[in-house]
Amino acid sequence: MKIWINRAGQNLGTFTLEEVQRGLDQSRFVPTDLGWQEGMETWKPLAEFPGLQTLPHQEPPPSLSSVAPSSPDVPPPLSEVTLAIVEGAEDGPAWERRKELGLAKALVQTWKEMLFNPTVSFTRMKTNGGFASPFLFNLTMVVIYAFFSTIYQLLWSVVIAATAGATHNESSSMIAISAGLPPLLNIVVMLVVIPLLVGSTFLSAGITHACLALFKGTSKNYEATYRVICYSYSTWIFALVPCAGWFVSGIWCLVLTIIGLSKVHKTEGWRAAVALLLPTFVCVGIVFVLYIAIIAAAVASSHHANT
Amino acid sequence: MRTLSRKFGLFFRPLAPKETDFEFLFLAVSGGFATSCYLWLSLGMPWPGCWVRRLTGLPCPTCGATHCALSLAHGDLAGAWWHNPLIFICYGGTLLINLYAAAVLLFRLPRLRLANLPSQIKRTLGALAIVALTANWFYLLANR
Repeated sequence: MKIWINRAGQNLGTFTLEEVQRGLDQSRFVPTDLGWQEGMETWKPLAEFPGLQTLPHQEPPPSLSSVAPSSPDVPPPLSEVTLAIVEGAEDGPAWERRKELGLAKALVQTWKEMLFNPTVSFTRMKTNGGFASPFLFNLTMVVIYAFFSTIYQLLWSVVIAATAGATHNESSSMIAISAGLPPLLNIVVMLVVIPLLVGSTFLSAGITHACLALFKGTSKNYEATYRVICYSYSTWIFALVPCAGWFVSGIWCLVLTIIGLSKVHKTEGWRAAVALLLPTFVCVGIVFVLYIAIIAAAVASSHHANT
Repeated sequence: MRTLSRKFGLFFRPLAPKETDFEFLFLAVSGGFATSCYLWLSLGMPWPGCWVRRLTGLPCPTCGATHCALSLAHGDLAGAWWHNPLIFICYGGTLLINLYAAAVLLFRLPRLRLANLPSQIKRTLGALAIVALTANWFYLLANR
């Protein structure tokens, strides 16, 4: 019968009783790890698990505290190589320590880390510990973006109103459409957009993770991919710059996500890039081929009709 | 607790302390997303069009998803199926998962989890998904 093992909320997999016993003997598992098997009502520590024997004096499990920074303001100078050796030493980005640093400081520090030192930042990024922290970061970025873009739109609507005839100028751009809305509706739209954007992050992380798995590029679970996507949203701060901001933040976000996926899943950059762009490539590629085929067929038939 | 199927490695088991509650996450995200879309459309806001269709005139595999959702909201199952069969199935699946998630959260029931899905089943499921996606797209192209 298989036993499920869980450590601090993270599933370590399913094992046989013999494998768990061997894991305990070799200190791969610790007595405080939780176990569950069919027929049990709740999870139990391995120390109390029926059929297992734990050694009386075992070394504590590799914990994050052993490599945690001495001061919250000064992150320890862990190099990529060190982190590659010390599995489980990840503690970043600063947003994960926002209770110690304070919200604003953690946010600014995370932007700095992610935007200007993505390789090291993603290498030392925590890949488990729940969805709450990355979710909150994503939400914060979306709220900041939505707030400022609403301000821009309100200003824009003032400019449009001041310009004779400009309000009748039809455009398919969402900004132009919302610029024509009353101020209150602009704010309502902002409030509706926030959950839409935050929800779509879960979706895009799922698609990216599935594509990465397709190329055998995943070494961690969905949560790790979700964290990469959320922290890559740091670039959204550039979207606040009018005109070119969107372009810069979009490209930079793609680059950050590719770096993040390759570092977190310990896979090649090309694999991460292909996985990230695969949905777009597939859609555009197949539609393009179909389109060319239709045009070729139309040209061939008209040529046939002329002769 | 009992094994649902040893072959598929499906188990009902309690949630471990501090373990991510995927049922809650799924319910919250899909519920929030659906509510936001409903509010957006209720406000009469413009719905973003498909850029693939705009550029090429051909539908993308997800074209018709909005109309499918609107038809479902009006109880028109046949209409929803006609707009995009695969999306119709996905919406149905999402609804079922949400009902399951609501039930396990409300009654504090054990959660359905996969132990080790055999690779043969994984490959079969992957192939089925690709076939379904392709067939659905051909259906959309034929009915554009």
